[in-house]
Amino acid sequence: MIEKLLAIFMTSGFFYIKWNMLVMWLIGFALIYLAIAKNYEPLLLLPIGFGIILANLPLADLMKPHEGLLWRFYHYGIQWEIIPPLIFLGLGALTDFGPMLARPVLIFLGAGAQAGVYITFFVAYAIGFDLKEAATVGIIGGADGPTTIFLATKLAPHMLGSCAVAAYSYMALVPIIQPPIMKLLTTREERVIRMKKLRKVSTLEKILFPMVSALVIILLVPAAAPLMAMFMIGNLFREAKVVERLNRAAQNELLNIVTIFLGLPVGATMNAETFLQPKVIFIFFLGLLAFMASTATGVLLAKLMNLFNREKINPLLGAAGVSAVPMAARVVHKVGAEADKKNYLLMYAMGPNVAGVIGTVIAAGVFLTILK
Amino acid sequence: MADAVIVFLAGIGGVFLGMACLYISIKIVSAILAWRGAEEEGK
Amino acid sequence: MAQEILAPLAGKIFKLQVAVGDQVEEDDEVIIIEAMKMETPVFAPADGTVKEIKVKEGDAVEEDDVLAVIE
Repeated sequence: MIEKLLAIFMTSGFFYIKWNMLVMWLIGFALIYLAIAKNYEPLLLLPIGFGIILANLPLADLMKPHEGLLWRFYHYGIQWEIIPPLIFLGLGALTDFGPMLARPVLIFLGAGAQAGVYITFFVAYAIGFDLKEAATVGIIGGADGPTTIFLATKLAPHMLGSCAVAAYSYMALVPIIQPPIMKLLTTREERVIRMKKLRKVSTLEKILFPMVSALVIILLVPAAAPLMAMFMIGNLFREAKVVERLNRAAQNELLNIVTIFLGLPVGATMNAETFLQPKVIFIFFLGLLAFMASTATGVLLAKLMNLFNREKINPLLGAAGVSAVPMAARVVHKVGAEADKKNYLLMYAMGPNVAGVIGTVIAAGVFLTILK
Repeated sequence: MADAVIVFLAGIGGVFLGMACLYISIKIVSAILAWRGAEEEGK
Repeated sequence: MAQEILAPLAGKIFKLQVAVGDQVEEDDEVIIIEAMKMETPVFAPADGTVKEIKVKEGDAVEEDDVLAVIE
């Protein structure tokens, strides 16, 4: 009789709790707290936080290869590279490229911000990460969750969880990270620059854009194909105006469902053994550096471009090249409005903001091409 | 270290090249559409 | 002399800060527009009285739509 009762105890997980699992639980709870109480990227950080807790429950074996439920989500959704491209399908349907097409030169601000990615890559390598790990840490500066997850899965899966958490956390902190750098690198005269009115972009242009850009970019950087293809088909759904059912599904049901299956397994990869290592602290510092560097390079490139442009670009727009859409654009608007309250930079900032998404995908594609 | 420099340069170069191609293709498409629009007006 | 207040960007009318008949000074906040989940104020271009308000809270507006008229 006693043995039976003992057996029930022995099969419960309580006996097998180790201190490092408790630490992970705390981290999971902390992320959930940040999501709920502080509204930090809750759509991702809440499932990630819960996934962390679930993955660190002994005996539950939710991440046991070939058997665990969360392992199956991870394996079939993320390792098979299905979920991140589907997120991009939804994002493409949500994205309006009008402000970018109206002033195409803003594309280069989306490129400029990616330089921060490579600077961080270099610093990470110098500190001791290997090439693939450094690339994964660097891409955090692209401020693009699915791309970070996509690249990490291929180059450094053991760092997937920490890089994703870093990316989403810093995205939530963009309103705090960016303004000081933006103000440091610009003069007041530059910040009050008014942008010329955007020309009207025709429907035909908006329909041709996803097809043309998919062609150009996939031919140039084939490794970026999964993400870019999905992004552009989503955008075509949006602009064609004849597939509203598909458009709405992509923007809403699909995106929401896939987001659930992105966050949960990503969190579940963060088990105590892989996460509680000194290396991980560096990931968080480097991630912050990545965001700061990308902001800086974007702003600096805008200033450089102004040397060659009669129609000056407000250099603050460079910060919107950090593709946290639309957070970075909002930050640009706010900083601009502080200098001149009648300066409405928001729509202009959306140009580099959406260009930055393409830029980050290209950056990831280049990393993949060279390092795989 | 040399590897890292190569990746760094190739990466930044690749991104700018890709964005430049995108820029050029957008400009070409706009130009074609504008030219066609002007033609229509002429008729 | 009547002056139109135009929408500086596309969005939704979030809040009307004035009513017809109110006195406003240049650079007073007259309307708040919400775009990209962010509230941006629209300012009066000159001193005057609010003669007409052409929108109500919740309306969707495009850039350069006439929002109100001041005299």
